[in-house]
Amino acid sequence: MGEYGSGPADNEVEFTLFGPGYGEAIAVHLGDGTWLLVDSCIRPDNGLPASLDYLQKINVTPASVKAIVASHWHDDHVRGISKLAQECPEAEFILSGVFNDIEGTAFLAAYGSQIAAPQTSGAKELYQVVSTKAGRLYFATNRSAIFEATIQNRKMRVLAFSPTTKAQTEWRLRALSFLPQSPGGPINHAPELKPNVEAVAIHVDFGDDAILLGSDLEDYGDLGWAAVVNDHVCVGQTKSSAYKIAHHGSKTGDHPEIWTKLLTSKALASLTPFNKGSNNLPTTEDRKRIKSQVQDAFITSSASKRPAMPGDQLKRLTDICKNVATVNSGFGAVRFRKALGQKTWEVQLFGNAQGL
Amino acid sequence: MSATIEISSSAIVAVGNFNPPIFTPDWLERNKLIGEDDAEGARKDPGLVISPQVTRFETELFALQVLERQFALTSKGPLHPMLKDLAIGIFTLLPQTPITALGLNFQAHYKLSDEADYHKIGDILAPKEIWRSLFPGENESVGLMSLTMGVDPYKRDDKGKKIGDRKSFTVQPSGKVPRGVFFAVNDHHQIDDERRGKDVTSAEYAVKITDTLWQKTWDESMHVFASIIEQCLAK
Amino acid sequence: MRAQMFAPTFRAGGTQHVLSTGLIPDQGSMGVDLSPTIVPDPAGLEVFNSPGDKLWTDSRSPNQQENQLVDVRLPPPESIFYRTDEETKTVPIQLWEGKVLDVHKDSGTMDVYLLAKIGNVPDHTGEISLEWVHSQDVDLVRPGAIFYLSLYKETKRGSISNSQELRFRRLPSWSKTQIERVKLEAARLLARVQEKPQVG
Repeated sequence: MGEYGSGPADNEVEFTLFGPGYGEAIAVHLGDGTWLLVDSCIRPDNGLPASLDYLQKINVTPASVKAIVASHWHDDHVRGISKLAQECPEAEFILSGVFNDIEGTAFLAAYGSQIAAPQTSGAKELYQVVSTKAGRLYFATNRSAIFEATIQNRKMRVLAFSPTTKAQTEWRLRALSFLPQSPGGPINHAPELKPNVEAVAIHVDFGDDAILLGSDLEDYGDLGWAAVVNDHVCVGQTKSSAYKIAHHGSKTGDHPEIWTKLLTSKALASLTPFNKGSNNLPTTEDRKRIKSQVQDAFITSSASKRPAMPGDQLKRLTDICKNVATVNSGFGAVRFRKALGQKTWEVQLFGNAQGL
Repeated sequence: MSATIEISSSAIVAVGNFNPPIFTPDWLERNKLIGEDDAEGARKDPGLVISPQVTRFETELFALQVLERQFALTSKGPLHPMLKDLAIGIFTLLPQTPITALGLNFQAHYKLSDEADYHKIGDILAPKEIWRSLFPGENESVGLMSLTMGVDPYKRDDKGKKIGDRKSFTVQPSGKVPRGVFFAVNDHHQIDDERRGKDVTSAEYAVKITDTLWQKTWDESMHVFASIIEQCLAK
Repeated sequence: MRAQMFAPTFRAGGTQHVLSTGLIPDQGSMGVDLSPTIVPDPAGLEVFNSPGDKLWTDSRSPNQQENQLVDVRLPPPESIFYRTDEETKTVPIQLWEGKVLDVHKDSGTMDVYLLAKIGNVPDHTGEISLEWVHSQDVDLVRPGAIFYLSLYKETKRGSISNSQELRFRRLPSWSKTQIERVKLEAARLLARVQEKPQVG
């Protein structure tokens, strides 16, 4: 992947979405060298967290990162996040409020620590940060102010739209069934509970404009997006002209009122693909639906799924396994950047990123 | 590479105090560490021994031998991380078992594509000139039987004692594979009070070592074995 | 292979050696302070080496095999000097560590994430029929479960066949101590994290 060019000027805001075929990460510049990182994925070519790699290449020092948000604990969103936290020790670390309870942290302890063997990599990453980071650890839920500052004479605020209180309760009930209750109970691997109502969707307000980062939040009853679009505080925020589409563009990650209540008409959008065996996102239908709503949409990688292994291995594998596809089939980044006060975003595509 | 791996295996060996009659196929099955088919296979193993001094049996995928002072779990068939899982499961079930040392062992037999390469490796690892000068006769042949290298940790404490344990690598002509080279690594870990800390039992520490290092040692050993062959042949 | 007892202070430097009854593969010389956790050799475990008195000969030294080539009716030299025991050999093609992403009971398949353990092969996803799951592992199939898919060539009595093994990871049950530790750790983690203020 080529150079990213120069970093943003002090009066420019940007959000860059990184994505291999599995995983995503976001770097947001609020102006004046103030950075927010959301989630983490690993660049397949150099093994570094993608955001860290980006910041290094545009000569941004770790001290400029003021906050790191782990929007949820799923493996594809937090790979390398403990390294991010380690490299940016002055940044606050924010995780979903579903963990703000003894069951939540017990989940992290059970599946992320070495108390028992079955560490799930996502829980392990979060556990590593929460158990060792020196201070500045926070939970975020619906309406939490993740970050506030005056930058370039503007009041900037990063607000969490989710998870709601109901979603937290729902998640904890589900998580409870995976917590060890009594000796002799089986140690199970912690699955990624579906649908995802625990993710932290984030609104970044620049004053006269905003961006919406949808994480993997899905719509489910009155727990996910439905709760957000019916929350007067969320709906009352500045409408966003740029949107990181939730849940890889899936139908379950969509709600019609996201587009009408939270976004400007004909916003720009970006998303990452997700290769998952039989079900790859976004589907053809998803792409059509998204393109009908936005001015333009971009995806971080082409998700060309051709298997990448020696022929004899592939032959043997396909005797047993169908729809074999490479996960990190390409790596790309989509950057939206503009000067504060401007209406139009400049879009730049890197690596395998392309129009949807 | 002009060598292919033909046989690979692993063994997890612990030294300590064990009660052999505990480690039966029934016990493993009851604690869900092996499935019913594996347990049945073990029960039917003609080599099955359960006694106060030794328990020993095999399944399709592993062989277990427990003596009063030694525990050894060895892979059979294709090498699998299941071996590591089983060791972890067993040590987890017996957290009070005193274990004083743990060894992660990996072995492999590589077949060389031709005779010249096979001999070249032996000659590079153990140059014969000195030996030939001492035994030059037509009726005597000098050859390498076994070479073991120790890789010791560099750091020392204030008293000059090594911090960490030795890894030993062994190279021998293969007795299993024609034109083959046998490699073995023993990644030894001493388990003492100082290392494990007071809140962790020695068995729990053994779990930690196995969980964190088994895969890493496997990867490293394969890399070392292949590198030795490559570097020897490149000379 | 021979059983050996190590003298407690055999090694120069007087390092106390752990008493062990382990059998060391092909260990001929005393005086080498070998780890007591080297693989033992229970009877029947023939995958380790047994080179016996085999020498890795000097490539220049007279080769007995050459003498035997005089008579072309003899079998090829390798089979005389390097005859292996009759045993099963497995040559790995690839070992995948897999994670179940989803189980589709209606179609009898599972979506899987595959991580290659051999070589530099990127991660893959795919779909595996539940028919490949070992009968004793069926109860272990669930989203999040870890399995190992081993693809290998098996040589048995001279006959080579493609083989595979799909086994699910087995974990022990939670112990009382572990549960207590989870609770303590949970409380410790909770105490470390604060809440962000809410607006509105």
